[in-house]
Amino acid sequence: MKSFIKKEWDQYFLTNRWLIFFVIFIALGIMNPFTAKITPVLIENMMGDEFSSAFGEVTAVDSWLQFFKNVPQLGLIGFLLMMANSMSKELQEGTLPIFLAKGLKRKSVILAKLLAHTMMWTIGYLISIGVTYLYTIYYWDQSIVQQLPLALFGIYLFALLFIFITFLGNTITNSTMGGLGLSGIVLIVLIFLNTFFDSKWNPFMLFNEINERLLNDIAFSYSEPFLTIIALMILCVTFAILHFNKRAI
Amino acid sequence: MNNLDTLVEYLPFLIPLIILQYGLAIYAIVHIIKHPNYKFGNQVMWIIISLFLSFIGPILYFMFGKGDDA
Amino acid sequence: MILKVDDVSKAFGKKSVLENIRLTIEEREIIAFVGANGAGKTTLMKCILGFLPFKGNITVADEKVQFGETASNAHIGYLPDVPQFYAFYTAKQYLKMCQKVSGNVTDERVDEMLKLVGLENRPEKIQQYSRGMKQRLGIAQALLHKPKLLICDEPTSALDPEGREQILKILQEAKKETAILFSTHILSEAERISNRMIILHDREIKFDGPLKRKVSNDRFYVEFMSEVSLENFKEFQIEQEKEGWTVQFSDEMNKQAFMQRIIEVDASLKKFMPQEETLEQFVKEVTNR
Repeated sequence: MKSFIKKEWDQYFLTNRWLIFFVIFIALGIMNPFTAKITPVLIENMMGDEFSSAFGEVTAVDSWLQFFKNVPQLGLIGFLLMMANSMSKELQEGTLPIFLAKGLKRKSVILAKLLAHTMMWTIGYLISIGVTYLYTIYYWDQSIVQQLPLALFGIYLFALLFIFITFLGNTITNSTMGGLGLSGIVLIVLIFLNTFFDSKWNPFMLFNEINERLLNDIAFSYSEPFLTIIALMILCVTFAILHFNKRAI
Repeated sequence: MNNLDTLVEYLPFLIPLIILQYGLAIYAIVHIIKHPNYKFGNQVMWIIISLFLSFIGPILYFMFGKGDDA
Repeated sequence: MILKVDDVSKAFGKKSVLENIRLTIEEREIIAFVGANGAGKTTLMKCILGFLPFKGNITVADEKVQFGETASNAHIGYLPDVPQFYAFYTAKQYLKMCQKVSGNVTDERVDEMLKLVGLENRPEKIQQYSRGMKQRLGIAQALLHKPKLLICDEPTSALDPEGREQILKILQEAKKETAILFSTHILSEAERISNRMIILHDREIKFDGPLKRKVSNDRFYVEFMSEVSLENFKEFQIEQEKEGWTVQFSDEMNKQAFMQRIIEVDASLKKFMPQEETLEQFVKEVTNR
């Protein structure tokens, strides 16, 4: 399995993928504080002073709010596009049979790929955090930001869940759109449930009240959505393995 | 606040963004010229897309336009 | 016994592809697996590798093959019909990865295999390889872990004559250390490197045995001392060869009539010898049975 993780790793760094990967996460890291800083200026230019003063001073919290808006959207979508054909590409091109024919376990392929994607997402997420953090402490007072590590970890896990779901969808349907489609459906369901049925177990609630959490350190229960996410991730891994084990190649 | 001050204040953003944007565009264009086979479209189209659609253009090229054995 | 296929049947949905296949392969055997396209050669190979569900029993080196499991594959080297590689690697990097997957392969073995297939010291990535180079790399990876059985699916079919020649040479080299089962529809190849042939036709094994061709008593090669006109032998079934003719007699009477005619036209025979049956004819005969 180690050998296959290394292959996935090489697939990032020996192809052009690493470039897209780093550009996306570094650029997003810069965009967060940049957008936070420039938005009031743009509003002032467009609408005049009275409006902009209503928004108040820009603070470190605004910079991180941009992070929570951009990284799970553009960052995650970009990442999903990169890995959405992770299984189907190998099955369609036929690169995998050679290794299964050497005795590599089918299960190992699934686990290696998920582990490699998890590592890459972790690295990308940390890069964005790092860049945003450096700008934030340069321009503003970071010490006013509350609960940041937990909030960041929550969105990290949330995104990881969708990486797993995309992988499962891709494994089952053998198509790029299948993976992205399954993620889309799950996301819509979670948003729907979060809007109409208030539940502390819904992973999407990790996006609720971020502003309040960062600014006022309000009480927030993280453990329930974390547990839901971990349970769903285990389900994804199990289903992917079960399905792939019974797949004719 | 005059324009120069504004510019200086935003330089820490602008410099890395510009480096990233043009670095990526140049890298993509060199790749497009060196590997003249594409999943779809032609050389001129991809060069224009990479040059004028900042960030998105080169990424589109590497994800969807780049030929398989390139 | 390296491979035992016992009463294996396979259907895709309602369409039966293989029925009650039985065969065994012993150590160091090299077997040509012959059959038309779509006869089920690839399907049987995939069953042996546990890639497809099947009915019956298969064991590789006494290990039971189970669909979805890969443990028994450690004894097998497999070259798919169109091998696809991780093209961002060089040949050496790719074999290094194979080495790690198999586990029990030395660095020297990696170099030895690269040398065997003539891909040592190549700095370029696999994406720049020609069809023939890829096929050679395919054999190198399949032999790397010293398998007891090498399974090659149409190893030469997509190649030009030169590439074909190289592959056959490598296979001939490989048979020193492993049993080989290779499918082909080029009979001259089957004849050249194998000593046993299995013919798969219409879902069943129609022939399994040594490559021996029957000496025919109704097909003869004829050469004359001097030029003889075909005009005088119009009613016989004759194919013209470089020097002489190949004559196909319908029966003994026909043969007698031919000899009679030779005397009539006053020709003198230089050669008159029974022809060996060609493999094509043999396969045809077997599959029409």
